Amino acid sequence: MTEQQRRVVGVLILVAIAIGITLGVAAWGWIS
Amino acid sequence: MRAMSRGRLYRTVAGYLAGVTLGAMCITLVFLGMRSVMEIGGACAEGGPYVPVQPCPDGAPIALIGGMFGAFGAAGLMIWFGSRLGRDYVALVFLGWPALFISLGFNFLQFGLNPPWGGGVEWGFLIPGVLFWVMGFVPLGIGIWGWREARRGMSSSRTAAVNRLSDSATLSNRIEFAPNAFGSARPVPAPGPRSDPDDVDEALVDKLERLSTLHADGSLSDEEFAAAKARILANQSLDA
Repeated sequence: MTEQQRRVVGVLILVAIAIGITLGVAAWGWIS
Repeated sequence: MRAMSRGRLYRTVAGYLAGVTLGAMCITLVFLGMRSVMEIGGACAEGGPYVPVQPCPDGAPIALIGGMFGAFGAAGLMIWFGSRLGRDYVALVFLGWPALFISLGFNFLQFGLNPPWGGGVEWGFLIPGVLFWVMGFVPLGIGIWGWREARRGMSSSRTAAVNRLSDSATLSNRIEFAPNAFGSARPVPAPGPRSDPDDVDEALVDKLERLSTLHADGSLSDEEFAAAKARILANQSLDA
């Protein structure tokens, strides 16, 4: 991977963490 | 790391990101499930031969058990796809440990210092909270320190490795001419007989294999690998 692709994947990892936390909160709201 | 097609790279990154998303979701579920149990005193049990003294909050069992097993699945996805992207991406999996222990330790400390039912500090929560933070922050600190050391060391060893490969490829060219006693350059015979072509080919394959190994383990970037490979092949064609 090029340096630019690495940077993009780094940003996507942060976005994925944010989406995961949001999904976790939503799933908890649904099952609780 | 072998160069992969664009489609395969996208699929690999997508699989890796799915693992990251699942991991974050599972840790969040465990965090929230734990809080719901702590709000009713920190324990719940129902069914089976036991008297249902304290029913579990809705969703807590599936959040805690599902979240834990899901986290292992997420780690599996990150390791599987991350191994195709490079070792740094596999190493990110280990951040799940401090993420889990620091977040759950926060729950313990918050409920230990300020229990919902009042009555001052709850030592039964405070002590696990401190232990969880030690278990989370100490490996995180060691990991960050090791990562910085590795990056510092890698850059120097990487340079040395490239230089060694370049030197071994260009040595025979650099000693073709040497200054004589009068200071002028004249041709001097190369040391020893010219190698057998088969030996040369074998040496070339060895160099390329070593280079490929350094590239595969992430010590060399794609650009460095391509440059070093081109240099070795160019010197090889000059020798031949």
